[in-house]
Amino acid sequence: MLLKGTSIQRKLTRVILLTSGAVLLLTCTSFFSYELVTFRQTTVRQLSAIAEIIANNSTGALAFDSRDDANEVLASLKAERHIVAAGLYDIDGNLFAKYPSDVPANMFPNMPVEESYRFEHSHLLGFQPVMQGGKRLGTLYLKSNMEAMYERFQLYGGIVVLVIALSSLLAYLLSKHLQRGISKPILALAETAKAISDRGDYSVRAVKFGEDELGALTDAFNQMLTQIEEQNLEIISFNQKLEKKVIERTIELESNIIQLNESEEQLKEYQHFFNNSNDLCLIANVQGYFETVNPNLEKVLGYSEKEWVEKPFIEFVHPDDMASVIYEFQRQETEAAMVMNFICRFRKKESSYAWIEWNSIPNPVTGKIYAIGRDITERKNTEEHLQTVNKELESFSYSVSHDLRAPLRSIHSYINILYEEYAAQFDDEAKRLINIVIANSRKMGQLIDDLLAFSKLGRRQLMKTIVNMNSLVEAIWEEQVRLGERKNVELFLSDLPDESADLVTLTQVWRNLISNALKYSSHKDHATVEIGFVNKEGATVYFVRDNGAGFDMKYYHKLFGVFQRLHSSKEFDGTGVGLAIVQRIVFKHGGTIWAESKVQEGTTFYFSISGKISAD
Amino acid sequence: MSVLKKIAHQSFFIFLLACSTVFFSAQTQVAREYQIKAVFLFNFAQFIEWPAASFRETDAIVIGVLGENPFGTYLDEAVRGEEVRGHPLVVQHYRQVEDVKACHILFINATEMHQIKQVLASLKSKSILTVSDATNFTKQGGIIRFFTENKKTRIRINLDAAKDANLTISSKLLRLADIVGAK
Repeated sequence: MLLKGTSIQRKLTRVILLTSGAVLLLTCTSFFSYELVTFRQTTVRQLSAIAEIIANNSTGALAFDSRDDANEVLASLKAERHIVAAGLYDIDGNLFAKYPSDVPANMFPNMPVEESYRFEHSHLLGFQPVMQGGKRLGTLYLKSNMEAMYERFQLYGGIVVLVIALSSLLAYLLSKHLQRGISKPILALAETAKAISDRGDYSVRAVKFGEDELGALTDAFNQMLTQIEEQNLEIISFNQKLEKKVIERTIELESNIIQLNESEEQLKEYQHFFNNSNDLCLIANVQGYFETVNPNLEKVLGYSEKEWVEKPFIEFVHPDDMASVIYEFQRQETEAAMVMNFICRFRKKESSYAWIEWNSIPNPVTGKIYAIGRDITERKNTEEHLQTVNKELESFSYSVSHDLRAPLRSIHSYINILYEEYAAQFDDEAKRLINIVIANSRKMGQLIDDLLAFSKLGRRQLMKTIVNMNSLVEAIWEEQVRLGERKNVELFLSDLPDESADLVTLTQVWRNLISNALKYSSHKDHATVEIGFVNKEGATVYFVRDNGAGFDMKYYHKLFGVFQRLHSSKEFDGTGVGLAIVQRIVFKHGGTIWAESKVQEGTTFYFSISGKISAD
Repeated sequence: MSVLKKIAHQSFFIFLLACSTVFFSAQTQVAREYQIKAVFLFNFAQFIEWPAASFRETDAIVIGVLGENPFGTYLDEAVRGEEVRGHPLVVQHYRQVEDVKACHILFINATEMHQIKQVLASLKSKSILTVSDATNFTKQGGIIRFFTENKKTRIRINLDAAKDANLTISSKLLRLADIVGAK
């Protein structure tokens, strides 16, 4: 601190001393030089004045060859103590007279020169022509000793040195005193600045010493400190905020990374799922190209992924299916609707066709279609085979039934003839036995008729018209009540909606269900039948409910089977074909049928004719 | 040529040289004296002022020699091409005093001393610096006389005569000279 402090003090002192010293030195030097020059000029002038007088006085001596007189004239120089030698030369340059007389002649210059004055080794040498009336008679030589003068200049120099020394001393003392006014505030400032940099404490303030520029500097410094202090606080609070924000962001980022990892994992899983699915998974774009296909497409249809994506997919479709494919594709584009169980044929690479069943969903934003297909060629083939077999079976059963009717009718006729013609000859036991044969043959005829009806259904083409349900049901109800001779039964009929259906077969459905309800509730004292509808999954579901015998639900799987019965013929009459026919008609309409029942409480049959409904 | 003859020849020449040296040295002594006096005559022109009237007839300063000319060519040589205060210098020789008309410095040969009184009397009215090396010249009324002292030529001036001739003599000249009065 002390060292650092003295440096500026020393600098100030040095500046003042150097400045005053330089000024003094310059002043003294110029004064001294001026003195020297003027003194020399004066000396030359004085010497030339003397020389002129002496030369003037010497003319006669030279003119009339009077050495005595010349010596006398020169001897008058004794008064001028500084003149140490004088010589008079005649016109030919010979030394004519000299002063002082005892100086040897060889001390004088051999030949005088033209008028000139020059300094030589602390002497001034002067040559002055001696003229009389414009005519030159000779030359005067004077040698003046300058030592006195130089002594004077030594004195001068001494005084100058003394003055400089004293002035410097005075300047030093003055500066030492005066520089405190400048150095003290600066030192105080420096000390404050050092205290701040050492301790980092910005609350320190520098002391002010006056209202001059340094005072202003101190004020500015203090003001700056205040600003720094404020800014420091701001920076600290900002840093804290920033740190907090960084921590928050880090946490956020970490959770994002975790999420990202998870979603990456998920994506990998999805990819795995996509790539290893046994179904045909693909993404198609609006332009009608497959964009992405899973490897199974190649496995099933034989084309590589590259082949799939370079042509519009419609070119792979069977020509007969193209129209429906384009229709479905456009419908999906315009309505953004899901497509379910859409079946079409795709050409395999080895040029046979595969049946594919498609489920797809469009992306409403991009218009891309995400589709999953399944090769159902095998199922389709089985179905076709089954259909052929069924047809064969139907025609077989039809022909069998048809062929059986003739012999049965003949048995029935002949038994009736036997009974009527020979009744008197038979005892009661024989009559009872014949009646059993007649009943069984009639029953067999009924069976064959039902079987024929059932077989016919498979061949029948449906003729759909709008059916008035209520009037149809009411007519059938009256017919069945009359046929069964029932009196203790009550009907609750809702206002059924009309629907498009094949009237002939639909009549059969209602007839069978109503006759069933009447039949199985016949044992009840107070039988009720309720016919109504519910709306389920957008379709109308009709129901027929009775409060009759009911059945055990564990035999439900046998309910719609041909020749399957849940009750004995003794309890309830029947062939076991009726419900099979009902189911077949409903299926043929594209509907669903199911039943709910409880033993001794009753049964409810539900059916729809305009859409498959899940039964529950 | 034999060696002996040679020596005789040389010896003759050395003898001849010695003789001539003695002769010429005496001759030179006299010649040198008049050479100095010729220069002195010329120098007088520089230290003496004539009244303006004396330049009425001629612009030049005339140095005249009365009687036999002892200077040879020295005087002519001393003044040749010289000018004093703008006046050219001319040398003239006079047989008798009646010939002296416009003249400023007149050297009177000692041979004319027998009739010196008449000569000086005839020149009295004129501003002529009379110079001579004859004894008693200044006593007779001449202005400047050359005399020899310690083998040096010196000057004696009759100041009254100079005043009578209306001539101003420079103090520098006076300081060198012996001053005498005629009366």
